[in-house]
Amino acid sequence: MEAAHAHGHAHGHDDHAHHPYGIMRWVTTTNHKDIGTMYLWFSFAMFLVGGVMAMVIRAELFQPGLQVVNPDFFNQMTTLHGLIMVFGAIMPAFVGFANWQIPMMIGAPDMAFPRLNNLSFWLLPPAALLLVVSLFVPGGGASAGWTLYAPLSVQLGMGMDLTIFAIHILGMSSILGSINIITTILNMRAPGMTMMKLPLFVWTWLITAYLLVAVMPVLAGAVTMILTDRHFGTHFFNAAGGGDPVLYQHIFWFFGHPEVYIIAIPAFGVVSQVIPAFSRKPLFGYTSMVYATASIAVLSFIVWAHHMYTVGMPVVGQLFFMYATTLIAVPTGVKVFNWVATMYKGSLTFETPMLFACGFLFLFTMGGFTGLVLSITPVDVQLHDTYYVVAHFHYVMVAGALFSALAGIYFWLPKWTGRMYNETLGKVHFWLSFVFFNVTFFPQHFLGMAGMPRRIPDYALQFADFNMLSSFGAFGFGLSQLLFLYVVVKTITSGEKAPQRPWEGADTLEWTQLPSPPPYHSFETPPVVK
Amino acid sequence: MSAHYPAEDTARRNRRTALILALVAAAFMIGFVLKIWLK
Repeated sequence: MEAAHAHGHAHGHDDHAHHPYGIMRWVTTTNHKDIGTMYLWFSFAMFLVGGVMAMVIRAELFQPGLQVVNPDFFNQMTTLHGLIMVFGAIMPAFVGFANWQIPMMIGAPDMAFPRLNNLSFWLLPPAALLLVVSLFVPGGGASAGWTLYAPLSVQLGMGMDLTIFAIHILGMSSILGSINIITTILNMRAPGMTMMKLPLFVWTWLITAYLLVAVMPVLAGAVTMILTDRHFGTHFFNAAGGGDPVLYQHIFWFFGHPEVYIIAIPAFGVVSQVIPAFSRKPLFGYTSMVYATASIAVLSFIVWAHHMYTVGMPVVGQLFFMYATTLIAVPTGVKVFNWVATMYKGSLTFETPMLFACGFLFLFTMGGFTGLVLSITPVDVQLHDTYYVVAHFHYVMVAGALFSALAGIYFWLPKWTGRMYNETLGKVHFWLSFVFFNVTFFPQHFLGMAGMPRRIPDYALQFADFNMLSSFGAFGFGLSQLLFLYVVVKTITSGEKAPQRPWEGADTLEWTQLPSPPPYHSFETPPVVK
Repeated sequence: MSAHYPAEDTARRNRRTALILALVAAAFMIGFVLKIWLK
């Protein structure tokens, strides 16, 4: 049996909410719920910062010609928008979910390493500060794109150094967080909570954390090599010195493709909790879901060069990466089938979390299909670096990861805060997000197929109409998220009291065993899972 | 209520798990850099 044996009597934890007050509570906290809350608020703040950058991009692209910003600043915006959304917004959001949910779902009192957990969080604000401050140093922020390709990243100004240090710190935070999560899941489960009884959200995080431990050090190595190329006379990526810029792309994407799944897999986990709850049925094909998730994770290591079809590689290499990439559609298809099969003949209701989960299911599948299109080498050679790619990954990242995170927040907000959100406003938020998202990104498929390149502040006249539509949608999408902030704040301040289990179909430990909100320290005595 | 765990054996097991994972992470980074350096 994995779970710790209950023995001995610990010393005085009778005061359940004994902690400092004010700012020191948050600075010194080792409580998984506090840290989860901080991750989620931090992520939302970064989401707004990255969102403002997206608005700058779309304002510039509203009409052809240079309108709002100069081209170099435009490139800094696309670079920082990508870095901040990936590392500052989406990843911390799911780590926030992990912190709140994993201990409650497995019946543990806290994470395995609470102080390490505090450090993992508090590494983030300085890293975010470095990224934002990089805009104001001589030469401005990094403008090489979020992939920081050499040789451009070797040549840029001081903003690039700050970006490299920010990535070091973010990577450190992710690795420490992952070690904590894996250890917690492997060692801290309640008696009876066997691996194949874990809620799927916990499984997805276990797999994600393994991915992070494997690939974040590779990214750290890659950006360190850029740093030494810049300042210490090495020539890893400098062809004139015997190095190879394409090598950087290989290393980056060895990190970068698993990174896509680091973002997507916890999103799968959230949806796998939400859909059964609102279908009032157990998840269809639990075991196949676990194996499909693990298969996706393994496959994600052997597909990286599909991002690089156009750099030149042997046909055998192109074929290998093409087949390996299309192979990912199999386990992904299993998951989509299982989610739909869970809903089939279920007693369905469509509260806000379920709406976002269905939005995820529909739009993520579309993003997956365009991914399949892009995996075909000869097609990708045409579409590489066009807006088709931008449309594709925003369907995966926004309608996939962000919608899933929003589903999760509406789903667990009553548990976390003890208060219900306003259902009408939640539904309005969903529909505004759903419509404006598609208005923003669907036309970008057409722009890409017509040949509009990405990361360019100006464009030919024939792209004007779709760009204007896309910018209109983006402003609408951005404004809709302020409604989300309002809904959350209103819930916390004046929401109606939530029952222990507001969703009758939700059956994991946090709903069945803990009140809403749960006590500051939960499961000090482990529950026994039958 | 009293805190039953982390019990001693769980804490020890946690530290061992973390050490192994940290070594894996370090091996990945050093392995990649060395592979490129020695190319």
